[in-house]
Amino acid sequence: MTDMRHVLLGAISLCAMLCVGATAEEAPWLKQGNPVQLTFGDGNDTEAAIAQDGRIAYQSDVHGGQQLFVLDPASGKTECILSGRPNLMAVYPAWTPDGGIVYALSKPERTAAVEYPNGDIGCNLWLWKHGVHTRLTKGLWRDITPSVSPDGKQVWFATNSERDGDGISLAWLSLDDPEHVIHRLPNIATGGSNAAVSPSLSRKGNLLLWAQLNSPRDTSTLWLGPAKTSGDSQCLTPSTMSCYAPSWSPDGKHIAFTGFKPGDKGWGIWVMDIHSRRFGRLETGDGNAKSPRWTPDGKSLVYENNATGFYKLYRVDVECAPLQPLPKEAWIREAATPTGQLVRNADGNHVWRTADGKEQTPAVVNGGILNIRQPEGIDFDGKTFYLKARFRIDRLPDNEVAGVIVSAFYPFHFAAGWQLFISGNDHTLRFSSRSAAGAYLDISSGAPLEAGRDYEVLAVHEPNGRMHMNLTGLPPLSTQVEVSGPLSSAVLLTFKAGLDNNLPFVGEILSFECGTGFPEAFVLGKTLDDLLEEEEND
Amino acid sequence: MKPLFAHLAIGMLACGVAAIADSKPLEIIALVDHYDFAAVPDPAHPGQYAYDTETSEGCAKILDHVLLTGAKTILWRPQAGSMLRYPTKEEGYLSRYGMDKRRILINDKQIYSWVRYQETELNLFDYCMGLIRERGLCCGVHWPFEQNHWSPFTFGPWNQEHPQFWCLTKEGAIWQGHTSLSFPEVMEHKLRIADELLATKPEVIYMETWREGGWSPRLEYVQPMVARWRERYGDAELPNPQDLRWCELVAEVNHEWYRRLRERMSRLNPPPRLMVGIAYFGPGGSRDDILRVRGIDWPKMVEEHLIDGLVVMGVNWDKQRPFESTKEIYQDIMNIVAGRCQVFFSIQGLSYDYRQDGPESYAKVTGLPQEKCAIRMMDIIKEVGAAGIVLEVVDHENFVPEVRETLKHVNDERP
Repeated sequence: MTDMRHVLLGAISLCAMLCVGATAEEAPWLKQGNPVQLTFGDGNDTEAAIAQDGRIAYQSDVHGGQQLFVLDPASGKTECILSGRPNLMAVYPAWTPDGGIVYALSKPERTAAVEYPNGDIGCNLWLWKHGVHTRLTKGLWRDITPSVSPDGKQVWFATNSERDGDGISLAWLSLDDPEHVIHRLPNIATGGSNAAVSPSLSRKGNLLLWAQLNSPRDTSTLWLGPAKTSGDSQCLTPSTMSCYAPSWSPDGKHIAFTGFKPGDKGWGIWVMDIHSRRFGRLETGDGNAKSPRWTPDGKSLVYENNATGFYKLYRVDVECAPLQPLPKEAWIREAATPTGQLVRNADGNHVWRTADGKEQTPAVVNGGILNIRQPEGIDFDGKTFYLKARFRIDRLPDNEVAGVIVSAFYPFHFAAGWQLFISGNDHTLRFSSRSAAGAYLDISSGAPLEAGRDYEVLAVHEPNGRMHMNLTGLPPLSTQVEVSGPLSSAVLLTFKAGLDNNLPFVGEILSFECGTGFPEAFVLGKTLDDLLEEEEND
Repeated sequence: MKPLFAHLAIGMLACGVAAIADSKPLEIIALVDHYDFAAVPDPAHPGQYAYDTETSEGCAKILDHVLLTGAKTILWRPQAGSMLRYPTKEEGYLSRYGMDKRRILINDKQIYSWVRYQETELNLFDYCMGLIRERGLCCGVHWPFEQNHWSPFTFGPWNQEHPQFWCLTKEGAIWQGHTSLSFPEVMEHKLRIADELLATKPEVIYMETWREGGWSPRLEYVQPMVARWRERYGDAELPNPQDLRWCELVAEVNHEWYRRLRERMSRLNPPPRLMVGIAYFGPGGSRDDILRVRGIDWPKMVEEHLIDGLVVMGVNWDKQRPFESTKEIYQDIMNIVAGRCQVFFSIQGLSYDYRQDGPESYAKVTGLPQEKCAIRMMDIIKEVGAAGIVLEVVDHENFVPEVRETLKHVNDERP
């Protein structure tokens, strides 16, 4: 990763710290001005959103709870558009192009034991327009982090309305639809506790940007994918950083976000040049700086900073010099070399056979789970590796669990180094692997599988960080994640279950092969460059 | 660290201690998580809940249910991980905000996520401690410190606001929200929370180390720990997390935490008992195993009289010889402790039998009814001379009535 900024100015005061035209360290393309404080006094003012006319909506706890305010920077006047009791939580404002504000609202009045059975304790979306508040969604769940599409027709948001676990997914509704039907994106962050939040559409509406927390022991990363289909999604930031609250620049060339990299003194404002994938941290002085939003002219960012003891809003001018896009990579498709196969011997029993003909007999447990200790043929350190499997599903896994077709374990990870499994949440097929830092990575089929059918899958993880999947009946999929982690000295290969023989797969593995390189018939999905090109040329 | 023969010698002495302890009644300690009662349906009113856990009446009802076990020491839980469940000053305004746009809170589709203990006008935690005292029982805090088996949903606002103190793996991966005690700021923060807890005048502070994820040397590759390593071992390559030198270094920090916590506790008169819960015991007491898994050097804590009670939250008993092997491991632990602090063994309830130390797990292996297994477990605990039993965790009907009855009569004379 390039242009990671290091902390410079720990104790230097805000006013003395920067002069106009200063550049962020290691990111000379990113110039900034002095931060200017916009709100003052007690209370925490956060989650700024900026209208086309420059007015800033934000939430504040100055009177208890969270209430919505609008600041007119030109006059300096502030208007409270939603106030109430201290337990009113009006949060995450987002402007519509015609001057409305979409926000999330929760207003519990009594204890949960009293309110919950009545069904009106949820945190749902509302629209404020011309002084009138209209409800957009209703239910015992949370709809948060809304954004409005550039054409003003759709509201994108995160919701757990159809999640049974602790996860949250992306969805949209049409403001033109009087029913405000919620359309969910089926294949983003669908694991039990995965969270996909803060969705926003690109300028032309082709690309969706969001933040995602992949697993409980993970960190937030930024993602980009085609809007509404959400296949071929691409991870933009590494697991060695924590990044969330992304915001498109008006010209669609940059993304501002809240970020942290070990060594930083706290949360900061980062800017990414999307075509070159370079990013740098702005200098925002003491305290945490979070939730950046671009002004309509794309020349400034408004964000919150708590250097004064309260979070207050600030504006900083930003100038991003043009950068050379990354050269579009030519695919180097190393030919496949099989390294291991699950086959049946003359007695009809399964054996694990490596490319040099060695055979290992699996231990069979719990009526058909196969365990091969110290397996050979699955050490893929630093190489492109593939899995090729044919299988039949007899029964799909229940919600919140999974059916693991094959899993491999190495000494470097808590759980599987890689695995192929069917998610119990959405019945998609997942191929998971590990980053160099041990983070969980995966690619999903996107579409659910069905019981009683045979499937053939080809899955690939490249050391350059791309994962691919070809599955019967579906278009090829690719995702940009991270460089694969250490996959050597394998300790266990398990078929039809995961760690400790849990999460059994109910079905039949008809064939399995793995190896290095790309199988000949492999078809690649879209890359990030492809997606950006489509947006550009639309 | 004392050599093994020293432990054995002390252990022989301990046999005498055990014989004396045998005549003492066992202390039954209930761990209570009132949050777990939030979703219990009210059988008399379909669609309603049996306990309103955000009210004093609801908490009193919870205590009534807990006391069905016969427990006389009640350890109430003030938090889940770093999410404090009372109006806390230390966590700041974000604890009242109750939302985090990177995630949702735990169990959001159920009532659990809509309870707001941090916003109640009455400090329920303080109220419950008083209520337990009022009933003539021993009150205390069950502090599942930095617990993260439901992470990241149980990491609170302070943790989320301070990424500079987050834990890192050797490979540099971030565990979002999990902080390292090796940062002085984190230790000070935790001590300020301890002050909030001590203000309720508990008689016991019981801290978890055993729950999955927390306290692991695997996650401590942060700047202060790396500096410690450099100071001790120079330019030697950073070791892997299983390396005992690394684990001992991590344990030094954790040891320091307990020392400072104890110092804080000693300001109360009388000072509360400090108990620490550890699991993963195998035969021989498994000092190194626990050091590797949790970065905790428990024999050293015992040796230095840093703790008043050691709570054994799980042992790796042999399924072929369930009770025999359990007793052998218990005895190994008693020998090492040698009367220098109290020892408690856990009996785990139906829903939280993570470590397979509940009557249900023994019943599965032996074919005996749960209450018979409970009796046998209690007999072993008495036979080895332990101070008592910790019930993990007393939720609604988490111990079947037969086991509750058995527990109530654990100290009765039996023919």
